[in-house]
Amino acid sequence: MKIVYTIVICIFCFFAHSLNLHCQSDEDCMECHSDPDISMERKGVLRPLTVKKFILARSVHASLKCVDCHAGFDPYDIPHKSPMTLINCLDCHKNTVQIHRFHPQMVGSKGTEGSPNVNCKGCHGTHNVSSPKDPTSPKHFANSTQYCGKCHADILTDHLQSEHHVEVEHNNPNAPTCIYCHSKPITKGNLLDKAQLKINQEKLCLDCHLNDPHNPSKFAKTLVDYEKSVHGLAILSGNQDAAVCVDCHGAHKLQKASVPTSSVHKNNIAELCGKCHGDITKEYLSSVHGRAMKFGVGESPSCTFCHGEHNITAVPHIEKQVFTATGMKFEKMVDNQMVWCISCHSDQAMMTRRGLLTIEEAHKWLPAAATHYNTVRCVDCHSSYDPPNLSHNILNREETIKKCEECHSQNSVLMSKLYVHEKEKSRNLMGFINGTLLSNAYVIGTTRNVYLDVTSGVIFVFTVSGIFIHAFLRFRSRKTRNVEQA
Amino acid sequence: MKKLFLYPFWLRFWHWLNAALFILLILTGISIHYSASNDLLMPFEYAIVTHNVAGIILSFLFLIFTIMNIKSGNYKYYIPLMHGIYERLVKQGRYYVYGVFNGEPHPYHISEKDKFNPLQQISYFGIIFFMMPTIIISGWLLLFPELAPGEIMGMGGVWPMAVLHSVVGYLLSIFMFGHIYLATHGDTIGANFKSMIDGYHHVHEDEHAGNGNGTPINYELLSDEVAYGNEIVGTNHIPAKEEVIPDIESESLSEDESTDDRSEKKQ
Repeated sequence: MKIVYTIVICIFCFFAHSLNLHCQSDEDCMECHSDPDISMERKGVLRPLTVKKFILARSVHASLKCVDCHAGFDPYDIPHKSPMTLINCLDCHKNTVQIHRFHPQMVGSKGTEGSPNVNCKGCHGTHNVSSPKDPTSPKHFANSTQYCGKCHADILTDHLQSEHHVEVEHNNPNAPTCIYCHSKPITKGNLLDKAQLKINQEKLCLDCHLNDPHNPSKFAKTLVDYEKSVHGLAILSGNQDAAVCVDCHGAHKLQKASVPTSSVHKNNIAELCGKCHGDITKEYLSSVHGRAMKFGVGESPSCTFCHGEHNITAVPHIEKQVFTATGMKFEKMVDNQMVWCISCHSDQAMMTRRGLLTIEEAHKWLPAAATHYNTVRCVDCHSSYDPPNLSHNILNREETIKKCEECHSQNSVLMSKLYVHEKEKSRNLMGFINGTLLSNAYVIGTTRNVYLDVTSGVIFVFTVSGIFIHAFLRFRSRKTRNVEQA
Repeated sequence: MKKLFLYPFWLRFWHWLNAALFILLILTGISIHYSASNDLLMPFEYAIVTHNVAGIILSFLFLIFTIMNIKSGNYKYYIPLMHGIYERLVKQGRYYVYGVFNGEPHPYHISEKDKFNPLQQISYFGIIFFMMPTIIISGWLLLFPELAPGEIMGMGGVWPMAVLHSVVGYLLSIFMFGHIYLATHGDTIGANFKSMIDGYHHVHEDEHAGNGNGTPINYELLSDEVAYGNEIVGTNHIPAKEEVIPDIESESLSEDESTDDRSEKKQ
């Protein structure tokens, strides 16, 4: 009997089930859901349940059936199910999480759950879901700017000014929009450490600006050396604070250096570098160059003029004549960076224009000028030597530090040279006798030598105290002798 | 009481002017040496000018002193008899650390032949022949550094001059303290100072008029061997050889005689 029951039940169920499945065709669903008035109330909100078939038909999901997404519904149980089985986009779109890491909240969302701002539905829509490859799709790369900007309004404002956006507007197919960059592992949501994120950011920029043959960049030449530069080496060694492309150029507001509001415009360079190198910027701003820049002298150098933009190996063109006239050694000047000072300050035309003297003219007074050029850096004298940053506070000619003894007391040969020079100078100034007698030049010989000072002090104390003790003993012995004689 | 005229005017003049310049040079020298951002005794500019001028005067004075010494033969007093100098120094030293407290007489008395005791002789010798020339030459080379040797043992020529100048200057100033104090060891505390002013040294004849305790007065009769032998500890100057050995042929004899003479004198 048991077997008969079982068979009957099995047959019934089979039919019932097949009937049920058969019933769940799109037409079955639309029987009700095409009704424009169909709605339901949930959590006090009236929700329309009408499905416009033509919208779905135009979507990228046109070939899917209702039940492919809305699974597990009993058509006769109305409302179908409570609570509703949530649609899980990830059933089909398996690697979605990987490419949507820029919205970290989305990782927890499977499609429709969570805030509409950060779930699949929020951006991709529901029945109208379209392919990002469709140019009319809001998710198409060209449209993503506006689309993301709905929430990220401040970033949108920045990005609209950027050179990337200008290219988008010029329909450059290579121009990046939000999605292009943010689908790469460049943001915190990727749960990578900061240095790795920055390396990824750098790689992303270089992918187009250096490595892409279809996108020739006039900076490619200097970008090659970025990885060898201070910043490039630092980030590769894991220094999280090292600057990569976006730290200077901005992540979203990428403007050409010629645009005055650009972070890398000449006037803004000092401030930009000062984000990290704050002390140096402070010095630079008080230097002649910083003040001239503020005053509007475009020729005045800023940080990158000397230190280079992406690399620090480039050498400016300087007339050979400058080196032969002054006796400076070219390699040395390149090596100690002074070549950048020379590049402007040997330019007769520019110096005349600014009312300055060229290096050669200004150092006529300096004895052994050529030797000084090759051993002392320009900044050693021409800046307010303020450790540890020596020094970006380049001074006026009148304020130049003439601390000759800083170097010339370090070793006895240099000391002799300075001393002889000072004596000769004062003789030229005051005549032979006065110059010799009144010269303030002084050789620091044993001065401030602790050992000698201590030794001489001890000997002095012993001598004086010895004299006093001796005198006292003499006085006492004479007194006792006198008493004895008496 | 016998008065000995030991210090002629030029010597006294040199001595006191030299002393004044010494004090000035020491004070300005210290001021320069320790001057940093603050001025120690006087402003650096004044100190250095004073030091330069005083130094130049002192060196010219030393030149005059040298010439006068050669001219008058006074230089002989500064050349010590090296033979037996150690024993004589010990004897003089013993007096200063022991004898003076027990009322002992000076081991070496001042006479026309012996102006200085052994300690004076050896220290004046070092100062007059080495230290003074050193400090004067190094001082002038600091005034004219271009004349200094370009290099001394790998160092620039001027720096060793400066070091030498300050070290010798320091030693001389230490000497000055000792010199002034030891000058109080005359018959009275002021006796030697007075001598250096009027030029006369007062001799107490009762103390050392030819007795064995004092300087033997007949040193001229001593033979070479005795003069340069242990006996020399008792005297403090170079006996003139030609006076000591009147007869070269009878050398051994004269030695015996003189030894006898000496022993008789002691008795």
